[in-house]
Order: sequence, then C-alpha cells, then structure tokens
Amino acid sequence: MKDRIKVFIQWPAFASLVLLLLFLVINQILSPGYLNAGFITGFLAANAPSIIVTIGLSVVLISGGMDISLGGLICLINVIYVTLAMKGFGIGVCAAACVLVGVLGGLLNGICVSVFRVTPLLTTFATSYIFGGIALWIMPSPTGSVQMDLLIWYLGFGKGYLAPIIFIVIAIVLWLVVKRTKMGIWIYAVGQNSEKSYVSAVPVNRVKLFSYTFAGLLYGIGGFALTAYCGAGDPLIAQSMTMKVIAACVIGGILLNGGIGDSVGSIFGATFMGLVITTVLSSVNNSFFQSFAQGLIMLIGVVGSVVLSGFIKKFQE
Amino acid sequence: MELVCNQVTKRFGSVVALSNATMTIKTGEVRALVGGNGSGKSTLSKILGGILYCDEGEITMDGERYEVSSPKEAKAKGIIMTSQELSLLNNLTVEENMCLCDLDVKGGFVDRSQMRKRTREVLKLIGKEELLNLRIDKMPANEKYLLELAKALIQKPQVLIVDEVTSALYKSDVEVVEKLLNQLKEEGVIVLFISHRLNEVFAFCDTVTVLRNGDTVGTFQVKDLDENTLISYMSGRDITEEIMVSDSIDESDLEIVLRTGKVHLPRFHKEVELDVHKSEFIGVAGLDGQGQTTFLRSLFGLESTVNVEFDGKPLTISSPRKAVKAGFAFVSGDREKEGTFKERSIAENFAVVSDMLLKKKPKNIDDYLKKAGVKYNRCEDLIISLSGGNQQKVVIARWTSSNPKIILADDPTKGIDIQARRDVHETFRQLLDKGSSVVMISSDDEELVETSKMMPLSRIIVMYEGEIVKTLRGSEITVENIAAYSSGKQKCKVG
Repeated sequence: MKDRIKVFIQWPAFASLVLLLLFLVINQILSPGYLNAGFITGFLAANAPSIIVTIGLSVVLISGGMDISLGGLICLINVIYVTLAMKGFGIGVCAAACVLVGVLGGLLNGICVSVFRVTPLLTTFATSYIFGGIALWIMPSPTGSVQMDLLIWYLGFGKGYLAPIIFIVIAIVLWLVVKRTKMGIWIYAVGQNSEKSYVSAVPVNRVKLFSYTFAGLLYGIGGFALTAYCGAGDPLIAQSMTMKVIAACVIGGILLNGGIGDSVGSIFGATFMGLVITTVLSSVNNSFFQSFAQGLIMLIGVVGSVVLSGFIKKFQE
Repeated sequence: MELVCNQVTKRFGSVVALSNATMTIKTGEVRALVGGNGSGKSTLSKILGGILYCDEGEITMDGERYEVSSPKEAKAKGIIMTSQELSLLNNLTVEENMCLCDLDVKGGFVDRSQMRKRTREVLKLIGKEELLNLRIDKMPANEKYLLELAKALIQKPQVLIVDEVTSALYKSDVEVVEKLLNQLKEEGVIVLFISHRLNEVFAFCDTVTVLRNGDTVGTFQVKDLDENTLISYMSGRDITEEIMVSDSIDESDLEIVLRTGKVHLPRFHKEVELDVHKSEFIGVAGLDGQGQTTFLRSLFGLESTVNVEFDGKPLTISSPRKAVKAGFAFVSGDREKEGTFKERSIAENFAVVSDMLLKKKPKNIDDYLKKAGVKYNRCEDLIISLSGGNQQKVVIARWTSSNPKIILADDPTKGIDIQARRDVHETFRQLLDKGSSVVMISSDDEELVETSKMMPLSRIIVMYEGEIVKTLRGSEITVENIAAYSSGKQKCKVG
C-alpha cells in the first residue's frame, strides 16, 4: 500500500492533479455551487476536443518531438467534415474522412522529421500553414452546418455527459494500448536519448514516424469532436488551439525535452486550462482584462506544476 | 567461428583514425585491444558494432563478408558491444533497459513477466539481483557499468566487444567479470576486450592486439609478454626499469599558491588533492577520461562549489566568475564551445575577460596580440577569419593579459600546428617568469615532456582512474614513464 502511494506521488502527472483539485476548491469557495450538472456537461462538450488533442500531442512530446501544426490540421479537418456533410454524405463517411486527414497530416509531419531529418519545430511550422492554407482555400469564410443528428447526439446523448466521455475514453484507450506494445517503450526510449536508443537496436525513425502519425489520428478524432460541438464549418476554428495544448501538456507533467511524462496525465493539464478559460470568461466582465487574467493563471499553472514536481522530487530524497 | 579484419581503414576528414587494421580472432578467444589516446581502438570496435562504416578493407565472419549499416544489423549477426558512454536510459526500468534491444512480445503486447524473468537470470550472472527494482539514475557508476555488460549478455552474443567497462568497477566486480569471460570462452564466444588496465589484460586475455596512432603494431600471445614489452609496443619506445630514479628536489621551501584540498570526482568516487607552487608548471598526464578534465574544471567552479586555499587564504569557488576575480584563468579544451565568440572580432575576443569581468579596459591590444604571436590582419576582423592555432593564441592571450596568478589549461594545443604549439608554450614560460603558475592537461605525452623541460620549475602528475598515481620530476619525466603509469603500472608501489 505504501509503495502504491509512493508510485502515485512519483507519477509525473501528480503535480497537475493537485493543481487541478486546488483550482476546483478555490472556485468552489469563490462561487459556491458552480459545479452543477449544467456546468459539467457544458464543460465536457466544449473541452473534450482539446483533451483528446492534448493526448495526441503529448505522445509526440514524449518521443522528443514537437508539433505546432495541430491547429492548422484541425481547421482542415473541420472544413472537410462540413464540406462533405453539405454534399450529403453521412456521419460515418465524414468521420472517417476526419480521421484519414488527421493520419495523413501526421504522416507528412513524421516523414519530414524522420526521413528528411528536418527540425520538428520548422517542419510543423511549415505544415501548419499548409494545412491552414488548404482549409482557407476550400472554405474562405465560416459557413455550412453538420448533420442535425450529430449535433443532437453530441450535446444530448446520456443527458449530455456520455458523448464527450466516449470520445475521451477512445483516445485514452488508444494510448494505453500503444503504451503496452513495443512501440510504447520505444517512444520513451527515443525521447530520452535517440542515439542511445539507436545503439540499442531501436528503430528510431519508425518510432518518430509513428508518434506523429498517432498524434494525427487523435487530432482527427479531436477535430471530429470539435466539429460535432460547434456544428458548423470555420477555417480558423482551431488556430488558437496550438499553444494552449502545448501549455496543457507542460502543466500535465510532460517534459518538452522528451522521455518524461504520461499522456493520461496531460488530461489534467488540459482540464485545468479549460477551467481557467471558462472561469475567467464567466467571472471577469471587462473583456480587455480577460486575456491578462487568463495568461496570469496559466503562468501560475505552468510555474506551479514545475515547482511542485521539483518539490516532490526533493522531498523524496 | 572466426572473425577476420583485413586492412580496415577509417578516416574522419583528413585524419586517419584507423589505418589498415588487420587481425584474426578465433572462437573461444579472449582478445585484448590496447593502445593509447587516439590509437583507434574505439573506432575499430564501433565499426564492428555497426555504428561506423569503414572506408576501406574487409571484415569477414567465418569467411563470409560482414557488412552492416546499423547496430541492429550487427546484433542480428551476433556482434554485441557495450558502450563506454553507457547505453542505459534513465527513464526506463531496469528490465526495460536490459531487454530494449529485443523486447518480449506476447499477443502483440509487451510481455513484462518474461522480460523480468530474463533480466533476473542475467542479473544472477553478474551477481546483482538486487538491482532489479532500482532506478537507473540512482545507481552508482560501477553498477551501471555492470548493467551495461548485462545488457550485452542478455542478447546472447557470438562476438562480445567490451569497451572499457571494467574501468569504473570495484575489485570484487572485476572478479565477477573475469568469471563471466571464462564462461563465455567455454561457450565458444569471441570476446574483444578493450581496456587500459594492463593487469586485467594479463589476467583475462589470451592474446593482445596493440594499436598505436591508428596503426596495428601487432598481435601477441599474452603469455609471451611482460608488462614492459607491452607498454613499449603501445608507446613505441623501449621501457627499461632503471629510468625510474627519482631526483630529490626539496619542495618545502617553495611558496604554495594553491592548495586544492580534496576535490571530489563523482564518476570515480575519489578525491584528488594537489598543491601548486609559485612559478611552477604542472603537466597533467593520463589517458583520456581519467578525471583530469573534471579536476581542472572543478577548480574553475564549472562542476560544483569547491573550497581551496589560495595565496594563503581560504577561497570558495562557486562559479567561473568568482574564480576569475580571484586570479584564475581557464583555457578550455573545447575552443568552439568555450573558447571563442564566433560572431565577434579578434579584439573583442581578446578583451572580453578584462573588459567585462575585471572592468579594466585593455590598452595596446595590438601589442599583446603580436607578443602572443597571433598572425592577423586587423583586430576588427572576425575571429573565425583566423586559423585554429591563431584563434587559440587569441584565447590564451585573453587570459594571460589579465595577469592571472594561475592558469588552468585543458589540452590547449589540441589540433593546432607545431609552430603555434611552441608559441603557446613560450607564452606559458613567460608567465612563469612573471610569477604565475600553470596547470596544463595534455593528451600528448611528448608535449608534456618537452614543455616541462623548458620550464624552470616543473612537475608531471599522472592521473589514472580518478587518482594521481605518480608525480614525476626532473629526469624521471620521460614518455616511457608517463606511458607506464598511465596504464596503471605498479600502482601499488605508489603511495
């Protein structure tokens, strides 16, 4: 039992969980009773997409990579879904197209990084414009809508709780499956030190290719969820998502240098980020002050999670 | 089984790291590969391990051409090497590390119980079953090196290349390794044992191949050799016992500038202590990686905080800034990284320390640079317009112009031409005349001998595995003696 607790405290995501609970408690004190069913369902529906995308990005980060193209890619996914839906295709076809576009986009990133050995930051910077550019090309301005059935299902199924939860669970299960295969160990190995991994017969290039493609798959699922939530097409819908997701990963205990962290933990980071934004939007009326307040709390979150994990480490020694 | 290297050559740019290496190893043979710094032994083992390609020549296994382009392919053919830098990953568990090269899979998922079983078996072989539940980053160096060996063993090698694994081991661990090697030998495994510990070569190995400056000197039966002959093959000179006479110089009258106290070298779990006299030149000899660099860097506040006695007063050095203010100078062995500011001019590179740290605007920059023998056009030119040797002279002039009381130089003449070397030595001599002291590491034993001869007061300390094993003075300072003590010879006789 004591060992269990120790392992739990050593978990890279522990600090972010503490941070999240702290934030919930503070909120509860400031505005008692805000955690009602309406708030929770609304929060889940709005934040399931970014939670899924955070899991995807965290896999890339653990393998030592970086991906800033996810915003552009998700815009493209949204646009393609709505365009297909307007042409009369069913939900299944549109969803499959989302996943396919995500996987192909991730594959392109992966090929540039692993085969052509371009720095991940540069590669994904360039591809973010490619993905975002195609989205604008297909759909120059917000338009269209998704199938009514999808909208009703996403916001109403199981009293509004279940649809977002199903999406999140799919993402978590996908990662847990990968984590238990050879690839799971390889991802951590390559993220820690790619040369040592190469000497240990780990197929480094394949691992990098896989991590970007896997992330692309999750962006596809996340993009589908986002489209179901918004119900409409918008070529700029996810452009501001990239940095928020990266910050969520850091708060969730993922090291940007690679090798350390747990994708499940990054969920706490994403939830924290979502809560911050919702809380600030609902409690701060002056819109000029909102960005500042959000930024301040995020900074406290990032610094807090880093300081807290450092403190935990020291405390154990 | 038979492994044959025929005329294997490897070049890095214009430098020949390995030239026409030729040897034949038979099944069940434990072959030692020895040689000094830059002899090419690591290059040869990396070629066999699939990390480097060879430019010319041919390697065959059982008459079949052995050509691999990655460690994975080498492993598939049964050639497994341990890495001197260690291939263990801190974020993985012990069993994940051990089995990383060949993870067990059951039904698509990693089979952890099988991995644990295999790991336990191999840890039993090295007598360290208790390591199974520890974290890699918390382990002391000797246990990491044993694990590195275990990681090679778990892959069931046909040819095992052991690269300097024993250098960080304790005596009891070395006995375990010896037992293991004997066992492998009986199983018909070829072992290529790279070590600078000559006593181990004599204890474990059947045959020895000597490399020197990339050339193969020859292969010998260990039982036909004695230590002196082997050292003379390695250094290319005859070793005779009678040189080892000590001139007694009375050092008690000399003024001590720096008493280092005990400086801790974490990798070796050892402490080094050195007293530096006024106007003295101390050459630090030894094979690469025996703690010389760490020792020197510690004194400049680059490793951790050290407490020394400087000029008769206690001094805590917690950063290079503090060291410089106290009168230390440090010439790094890595000019690219720690010597020059590439995008800055010669004058700025020269003046940086006195200008920015000591708050003294240097005057007559041209005079200084000319005196240091720098060949340049205008001192406003970028430093990278100069040759490597001239760049290094600027770096050294930077430090000498600040009138340091002590200069710590980490292989300052590495990779520069002979004339530039002489100029550097001359600069150091002039500093001694002015009352400064110089501590200089060099990987070139001949340079140490020459330099110590031109200095009025000089001493060579030889470091081996994190200890000063011998101090050479006067006529004792010879390439032969340095080579002998660098290889750990007669370690027990030295106090």
